[in-house]
Amino acid sequence: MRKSYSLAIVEPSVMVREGLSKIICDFTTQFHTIFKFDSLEHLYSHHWDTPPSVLIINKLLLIGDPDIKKRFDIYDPNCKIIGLQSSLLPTNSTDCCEESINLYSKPNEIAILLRKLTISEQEDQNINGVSEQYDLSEREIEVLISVAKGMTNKEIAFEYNLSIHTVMSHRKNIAKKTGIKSISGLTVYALINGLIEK
Amino acid sequence: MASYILPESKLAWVVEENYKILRILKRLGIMPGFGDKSIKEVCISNKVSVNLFLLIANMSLYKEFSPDLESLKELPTIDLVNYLRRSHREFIINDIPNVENAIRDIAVNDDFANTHSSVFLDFFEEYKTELLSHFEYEDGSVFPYINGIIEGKIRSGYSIEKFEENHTNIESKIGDLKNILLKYFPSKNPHPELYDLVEKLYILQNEFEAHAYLEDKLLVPHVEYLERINGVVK
Ligand SMILES: [Fe+2]
Ligand SMILES: [Fe+2]
Repeated sequence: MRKSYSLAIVEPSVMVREGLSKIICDFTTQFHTIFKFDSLEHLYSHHWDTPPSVLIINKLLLIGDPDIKKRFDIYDPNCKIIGLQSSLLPTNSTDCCEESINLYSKPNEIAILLRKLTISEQEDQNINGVSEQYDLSEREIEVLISVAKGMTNKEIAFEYNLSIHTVMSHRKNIAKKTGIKSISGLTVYALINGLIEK
Repeated sequence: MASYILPESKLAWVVEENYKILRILKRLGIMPGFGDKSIKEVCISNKVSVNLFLLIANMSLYKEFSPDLESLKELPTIDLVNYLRRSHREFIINDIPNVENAIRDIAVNDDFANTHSSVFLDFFEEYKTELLSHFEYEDGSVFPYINGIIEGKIRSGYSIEKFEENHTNIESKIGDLKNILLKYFPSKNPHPELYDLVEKLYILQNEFEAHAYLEDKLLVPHVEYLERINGVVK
């Protein structure tokens, strides 16, 4: 089974909040619900059935509450926090955000970041034998993107410093996991999942 | 264990067992109203070679069925080629436009998928172009070459071996399309149309596989035999 996740956005501007939510809907497939909040108070007072696996939060809100990670650990210690930088002012780098995005981040960059965060969680579980992995690994995603861009096995091997044999085995795994064999089919997959832009 | 179709099998029972044979009856021009007649009787009254019928039906329905040498030699070449031509026409006139319309409806009428609808359509257009040129090459070059052998006109520098070597797989992209629609289609509608389309794609994939199997394992060895007895120099 493909695992599905939920995500929460904490952002005071309704335009930014709705826009980001739309981008995530259009460019990713792993989130079944997106929760939206305009302030930390509303986030804290929400009653969670399933707490979100990823939290995107406006960095300005963290100035008053830099310890959100600790507060959120009660709900889900594995929750990943992404800081949303909404101003061009430098923000302090000592906050708890693991990753950050800004108002100029491209949809595919956001999608790749979200994939990375949710996949590594799934891989952790695989090590413990909890679930079998069907989604692509980070390396497989890199190879897939290169294939979709029209690179040959040789070029991919050179780019990532791999043997051609390894590239071919990644490609075989990609075809097996996705059920898609042709280059143009894989390009469609990459576009749908926001891994590349048209 | 599959039991193959025999000359004395009753056609109505064979259909009951495996309705996929209906498309074969259509292409061979077998009239309905065959009552309880056997395959052999139906073929004779419809002027269809019993040998051709059994080979096409068994090879299309049973992947492991392979023809024996004698039946290969005795095939009516023109009828086999016409069967394949008719299949192409059916794919081009019915199946491909059906799939294309369904994809268009699904891609255009889903606001969630809208961002991606042109991507789907481009993928299908590319595949369609590949399919059409595949069929056109066979209709326009391979089949006329085979007719030429029978008429004693031999084209130098060409042989069915060249066709066999370059014969591309036409069904694998249907698999891609099915998986994209079922596993990765970013929709927020339940889309009954999508499931109908995927069902059609399964049927068409099956048809393409059976078609390619006839070309590779029936047409090619039969034409190799014709080349041998007509002295085609490779
Ligand atoms: Fe064909
Ligand atoms: Fe073919």
